[in-house]
Amino acid sequence: MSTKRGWHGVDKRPARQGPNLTGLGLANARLRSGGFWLARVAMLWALALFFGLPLLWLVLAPSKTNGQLGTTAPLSFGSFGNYETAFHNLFNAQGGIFVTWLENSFIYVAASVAIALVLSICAGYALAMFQFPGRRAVLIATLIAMITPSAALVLPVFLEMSLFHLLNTAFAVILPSGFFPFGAYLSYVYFSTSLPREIVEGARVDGAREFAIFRSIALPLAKPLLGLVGFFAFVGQWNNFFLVSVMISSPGRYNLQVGMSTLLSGAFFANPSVPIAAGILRPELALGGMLLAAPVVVVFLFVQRYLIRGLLAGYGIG
Amino acid sequence: MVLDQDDPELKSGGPGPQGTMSGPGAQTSIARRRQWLTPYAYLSPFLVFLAVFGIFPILYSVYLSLTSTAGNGAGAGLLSNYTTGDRDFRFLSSSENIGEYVLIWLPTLIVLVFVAALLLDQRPGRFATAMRVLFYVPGALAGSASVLVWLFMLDPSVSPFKIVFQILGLSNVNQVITPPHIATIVAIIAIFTGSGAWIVIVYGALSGIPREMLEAAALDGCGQVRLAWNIKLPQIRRYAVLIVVLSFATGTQVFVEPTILYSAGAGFVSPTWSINELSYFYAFTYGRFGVSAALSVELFLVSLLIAVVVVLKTGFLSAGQSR
Repeated sequence: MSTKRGWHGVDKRPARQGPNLTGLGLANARLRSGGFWLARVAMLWALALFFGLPLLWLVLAPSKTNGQLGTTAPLSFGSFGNYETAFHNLFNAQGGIFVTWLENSFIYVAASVAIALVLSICAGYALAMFQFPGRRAVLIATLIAMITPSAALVLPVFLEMSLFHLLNTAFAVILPSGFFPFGAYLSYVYFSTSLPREIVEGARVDGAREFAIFRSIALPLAKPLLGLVGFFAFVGQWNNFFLVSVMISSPGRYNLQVGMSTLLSGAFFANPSVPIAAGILRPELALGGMLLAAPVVVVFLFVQRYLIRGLLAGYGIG
Repeated sequence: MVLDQDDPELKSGGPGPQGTMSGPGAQTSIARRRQWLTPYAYLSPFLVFLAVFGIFPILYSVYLSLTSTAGNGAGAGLLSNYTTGDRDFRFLSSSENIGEYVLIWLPTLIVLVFVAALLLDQRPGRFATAMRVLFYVPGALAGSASVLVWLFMLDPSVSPFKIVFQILGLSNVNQVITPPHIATIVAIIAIFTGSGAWIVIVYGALSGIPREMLEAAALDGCGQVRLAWNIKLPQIRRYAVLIVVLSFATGTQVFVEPTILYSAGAGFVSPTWSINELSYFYAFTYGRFGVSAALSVELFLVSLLIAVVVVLKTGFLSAGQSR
């Protein structure tokens, strides 16, 4: 296959311009496909509006007051002062509970991502670098666990946590999220493709200890992998709603996802001018949604090339 | 070499764990055993979590579903929790809701993902790259954030899609968000947040099609549409199967969006709209863990069956890859 994509290097794919975009072919193609070109651009822009307008609206909404939201053009800009007001209202509502949720989110995310990273990297390394009895069984179990939607396990894990009397504790959220089979599989694929076994075997012949090989050869190579697994685990945990809403019953221990959903209550259908929590109206909600999405969007925009490559590797492409 | 400082002979003064150095037989066999154990040592933390948070909860749920009589009254049969759950009048309507949702969502998703990926691939470049990023970014919005955004988008008084509602003759949010529309709304949210990743994957697969094949077709006078339909599509058709199968498994598990819609005050959205919500309802509202476990087990089996088929019967994920 002519399209090989390296993990580390830039996209090695030769820039495919479309076979008929050179010389005579180009002219012919343009003549034949003027209507097609228009249809293509129109369809792509329609998709761009569907995916982009909600994001744009979300960013602009807190610049307006609750009243202005209904009276001004949907994509107009109000003033920076309104962001400040919305920010103030959001962070002071219910005795500053938004900050508490933010802190809880950070704690849950940090702890479970750390666990997921250690488990995934070690497991992927073992699966890629050793032949041992049971290896295929573990790989298949990992794949099945990875493909089974995580939602399928939430209620069974809830019943388990109830058995162990861990409900409404941070453990009930952090520990189950530390189990991240996609990370283990991604690590396995990564080590299989980017760490030649000959190097490891050579080091072994030279008498290096196993852990030394792991620490001084595998780990330094695995930096992009750490970022990749870390990001996917981070997104999953930051956006974790189902597990947290089932396990946690005290509002003071909610994460931001679940906390925000309680702020939504009644804001849309009852009477949009009567706030449920003091000071929480539509601009505050929009700002909350924006802050909820922001960390993921920011990280994504910075490392999207890596992410896309990792996503593809997970599905055996590239 | 960095490794030199970790030379076991320097540190422990004995033969290396590989037994490659000449040493007494007993020490060699200890070393062999240690080498044999190494992969399991690296695997064990993951395996513990797999057992505790993957396998045990399911076995425990099966056990609960067969034995728990909490809230049932005495003398129930072995499968009574299953019959209670399945005969509940809400189970039928939850199943219908999920069926309707999946029927709206899946075909739309497939068409959208393939059209978008083919259009992007038709002329790769900066524009296509920017579009691909734009399609993927909404994936950052999940749960509360995506429902929140779409509650606004579906309110004709504030929505930038106002013109669409005008065409449809809807002027007020209470006309848009009504019980018959919930499945469609959940589908729109799922498409908004979930299509981008699939577009990236299918687009990636498209760029793997050998150039020579496309050039040959173009030389034979194949136009863009026929190129997409006759040459590219057959090469990536198997991804449609993957998307349908995996999305179906996810679709049966839907919980978050209808739950948040319900808690956002759309009181007409049933708190038992989906099967997972019904299962949750049994545990939390009635304390009947047995029925809750029975419903979860049934849902899990659907997903498990799909996962097993995908892993063992399709070549997407290389579990057997021996090097």
